[in-house]
Amino acid sequence: MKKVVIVGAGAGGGLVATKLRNKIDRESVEITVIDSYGKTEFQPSFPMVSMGLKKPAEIGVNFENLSKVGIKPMKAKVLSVNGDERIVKTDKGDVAYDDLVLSPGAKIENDKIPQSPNVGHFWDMEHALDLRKKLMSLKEGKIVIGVSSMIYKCPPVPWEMAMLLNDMYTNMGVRNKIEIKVVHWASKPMAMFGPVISNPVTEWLENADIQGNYGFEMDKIDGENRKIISKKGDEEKFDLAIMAPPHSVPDFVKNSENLLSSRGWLDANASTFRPKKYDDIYGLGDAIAPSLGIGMAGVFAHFQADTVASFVLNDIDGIYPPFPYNKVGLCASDMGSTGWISYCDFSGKIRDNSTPFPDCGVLGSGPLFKVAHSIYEKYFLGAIYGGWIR
Amino acid sequence: MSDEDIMKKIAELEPTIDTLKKLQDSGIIAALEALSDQADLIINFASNMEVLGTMSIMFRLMGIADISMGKVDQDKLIRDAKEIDWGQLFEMLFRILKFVANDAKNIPKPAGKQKLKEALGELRSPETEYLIKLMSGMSKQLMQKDD
Repeated sequence: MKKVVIVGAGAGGGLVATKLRNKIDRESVEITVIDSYGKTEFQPSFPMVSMGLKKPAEIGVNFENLSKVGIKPMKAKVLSVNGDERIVKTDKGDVAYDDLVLSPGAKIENDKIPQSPNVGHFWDMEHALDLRKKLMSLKEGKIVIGVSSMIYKCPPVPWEMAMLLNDMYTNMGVRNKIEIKVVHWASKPMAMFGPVISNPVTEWLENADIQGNYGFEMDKIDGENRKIISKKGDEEKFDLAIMAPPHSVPDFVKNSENLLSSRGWLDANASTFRPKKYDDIYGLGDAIAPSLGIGMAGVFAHFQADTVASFVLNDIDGIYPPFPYNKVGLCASDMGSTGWISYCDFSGKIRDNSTPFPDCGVLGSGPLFKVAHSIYEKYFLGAIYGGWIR
Repeated sequence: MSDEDIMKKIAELEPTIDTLKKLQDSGIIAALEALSDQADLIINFASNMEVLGTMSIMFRLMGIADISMGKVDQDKLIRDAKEIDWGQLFEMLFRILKFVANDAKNIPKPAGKQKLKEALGELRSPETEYLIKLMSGMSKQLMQKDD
């Protein structure tokens, strides 16, 4: 029996696992998903969790449910990958593979930002829930939303969060007592997506009286004295800082020279998703995003999963045609009282990383578009776990 | 859940099961199954700049249509539309289509300037007279002021 091992039960790994299971019978191939967290969560809904708009159980599924769809879940931490001997070493023992799919996500370095009652974030479930208490207790003052590294999950989310906070505090009747400000390295709101996206977002932020400090690269955050200091020495004071911790490559990848790209992340090319050295290992999702020169977002992993699954199927049966990678990314944002859907083609950016921004468009905006976020949330979880999402 | 609970649940679902059976017998379930089998490919293929761009334009046009239709007296629109002799209009349209399809190609391209006598002849033809009267009637309506 052939063995396919998948590291990560998130958007990339979870979808590859199910796509494979749907195409190959259980007697001929064993599919194992290794995950240290043990849950699949729809991470774009973390901001809503931090505001009490969604419950953790609504946006996450215990990955033990994979066994109900014929996939073996293994809760373990990956320590290393021996690509020459086809072994994944974990803290629960070694696992052999014929094909290995690596979708471990990015490591969120929580210890790099201060543990303070004045600082929080929503880039993982634990901190999203903690932030909820901080947001609810704040009745006046200044909230600063920012990022502590160039690379972080979901590039548009600081501005999405600002709009959600504007809506929440408006509904609570205290918006006039709360200042909301985004501090970011970009030159203007969502500048990395070009003027088609940046211009309308800038207008929305202005209309919502959301301030911005742009071109601000964070150097350190002082939780005790409630100020963020930029690399140029500028300071931004706050009463509550919502700050993305630095994101880095997972340790087992960092320690495997053969898996690293020249950019220091998981190596994978944008056609086959294989690293240079191995033809039976595939990488996808956030861990390869910096290597490809795109942002970290589940939507990229979604289409990468279609392609990776096709290559693995071809490895197994030799007749499955590879599925070309669709480099278009869609973003369905819930911005409080309204929603919007934007889309970008990253082909040019992947081909030449000096391309200033991808080719983008806005599908539309309005209250009805809010629903798209929730539909995608359920579709994403359902596509992995079938009916076992409750 | 006890056997009794399960039977009760099934009894509650009986109308739904009947409907599902009808959908199955009609072939709709098979069509839905094919769609769900291909759902990931449909979403992948539909996520391209051409399709998304077209959808984007449609959403924008919907906004314009919404604004313009909001200014229309819908009762008057329906009333006037009912008065149109659609049969005659379509018959005329079909004749024009037939002419374009079959006879338009037989009209010779002008080799030189038209002679004055021929031009006057065409201007005085019943067809041109009809067109002038039609245009004149329409422009009178455009110029007419509401009382």
